[in-house]
Amino acid sequence: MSTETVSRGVGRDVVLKQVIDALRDMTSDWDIEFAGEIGEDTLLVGDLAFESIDVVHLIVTLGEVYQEQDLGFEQILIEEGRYVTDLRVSQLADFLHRTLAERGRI
Amino acid sequence: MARTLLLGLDSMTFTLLDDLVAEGRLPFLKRCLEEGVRADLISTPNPITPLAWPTLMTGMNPGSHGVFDFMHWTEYEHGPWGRLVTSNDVRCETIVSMANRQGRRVIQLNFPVTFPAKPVNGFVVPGYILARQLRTSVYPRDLYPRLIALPGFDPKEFSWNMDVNRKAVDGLPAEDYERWVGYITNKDHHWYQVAKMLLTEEQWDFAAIVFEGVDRLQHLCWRFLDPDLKDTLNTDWEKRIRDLSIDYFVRLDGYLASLVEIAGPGTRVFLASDHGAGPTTEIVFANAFLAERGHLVWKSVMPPNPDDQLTAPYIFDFYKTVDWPRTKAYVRSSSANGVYIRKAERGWGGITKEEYPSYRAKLVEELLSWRDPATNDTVIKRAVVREEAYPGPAMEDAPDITLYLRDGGHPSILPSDELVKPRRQVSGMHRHEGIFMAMGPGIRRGARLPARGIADAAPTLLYSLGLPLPAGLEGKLMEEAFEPGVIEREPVRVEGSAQRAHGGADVPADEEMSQEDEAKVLERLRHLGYLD
Repeated sequence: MSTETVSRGVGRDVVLKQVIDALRDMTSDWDIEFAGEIGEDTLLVGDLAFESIDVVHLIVTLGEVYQEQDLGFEQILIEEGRYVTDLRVSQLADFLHRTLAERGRI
Repeated sequence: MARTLLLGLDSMTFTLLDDLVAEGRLPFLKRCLEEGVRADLISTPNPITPLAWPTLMTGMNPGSHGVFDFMHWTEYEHGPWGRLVTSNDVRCETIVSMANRQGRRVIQLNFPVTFPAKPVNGFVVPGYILARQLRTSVYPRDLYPRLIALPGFDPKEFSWNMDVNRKAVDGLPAEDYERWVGYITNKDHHWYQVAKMLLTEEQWDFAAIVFEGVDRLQHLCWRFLDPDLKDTLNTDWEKRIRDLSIDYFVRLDGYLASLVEIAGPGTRVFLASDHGAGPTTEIVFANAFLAERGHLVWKSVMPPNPDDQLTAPYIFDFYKTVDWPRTKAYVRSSSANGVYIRKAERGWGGITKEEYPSYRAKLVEELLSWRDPATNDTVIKRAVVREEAYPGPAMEDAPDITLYLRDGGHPSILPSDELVKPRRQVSGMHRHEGIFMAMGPGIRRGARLPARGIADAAPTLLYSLGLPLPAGLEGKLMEEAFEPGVIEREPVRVEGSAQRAHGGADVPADEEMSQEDEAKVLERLRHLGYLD
């Protein structure tokens, strides 16, 4: 997994790569049908067979990558009081890039 | 100081332990009782795993360490949102971190709320981890190949399985019991194998492992194990399940004996549980009661639940049935074991700051005056406000009112036409009275000590390791566990100031707080009103 952290000026492409690296590391030995490369359009549930507890694992992992324990992931995980049914990698990257920028991290 | 081994037995109770020892089934635990000390260890106000183990391992109560349920919740206009608690939610330093920080090599296995594992000089395998997350969750990562190389190691049996654990609380068809008890037995065998490998092959100063099968087994099989019920078992099947359940404890006794032998005679051994266990015979529908009194409003009612379960299969689906803008108080989850009051200052209805004291006092009165129409007995024995149950800087996250149900059970969150229903059969549920035992160099022999609080275990373990006790620690050293003269020869040392105990997450090895960090912590504590 990439140990590269973020710094000011880092673009969305770097954040996207870090998300993909984290997902690759997590899922490399999972017994799932998904055989393609993880990319922007990959779905956490539909492609990687994520369960809710896997989302917690990913949140914690990304929190460690960015050294932020609370990145406010509920903003993209719930809509109108309900858990979203799935999430694309691109949505994660967009959210992280926006949040890190707002916090002055990039 | 002495090398120290903590054997955690999730939910172990002297009610059962004494009975099985008297039957001659547990030779090692009998030896512990004869050669060491014992005491009831009184759990946290809500005696459940995610509160109690962090209290045992930090010496701080939930009002300080900040964990109040299996989930970390945030209140929103449309209801609560939660995720599983993680080690990042524990606001106080654990004794594993303290030991590590002071140069001790540590091994910590299967403790709840330890994911993500913090880097230590030693080994950590967090508890409550799914099989497919195991590889990326152990510390260090190169421990994983050693786990899967163990003879017969099965990550799926070793790791947490939400569906299987759910069955422990919700019940099983009779034909599945035997297989299920076998699963629990195998699971703890895997943890024993891992502990045995590390204790044998590695240098260590402090090792701690939790065996969780005791809790799972007691939830489902209490009626076969309860000393008061064992003579009522009539069928061959009932006797068979009792025999299998006792076989689990016999095997566990063997694992403990083996680990203590590996640790060697110079090691101090401590055994502790996070809470005890006992029977529950009824289901108390607390949200239905709150709805009847107008505190909670249903938007739509879930279909009748034929299984009379405590919890909704999908808790967030359950929350959709609540009319949140019109709801003032509700039980958030069965495990939280308390009533939360919706606060108006967040801007979406609820109780205002001015209304809060009188509203809560009236609600406490209503809860305490709730009577079962069948018997006219009160259903709730105690209703404790959070300032009393959970004082400390994290109190704002605690239930506004913690419940003590008359049969020791937890409330159901589901709707129901009847507010109290008898269970179809006796189940196991938690009790406040857990166990504490110790034996080894410097420990008194054959002594029965007065009951102690679960937070008292942490300073006792630190003292055993020869480490200073943080000044702000809420738990108190169990001096009476040690032979006369030990405390005089090895005086208690106190380190630092209260902020170490209150000041947040575990501290990695060799990473003492800078003056700047200390200042930040002090500022944070002041902000929380803790110092001034």
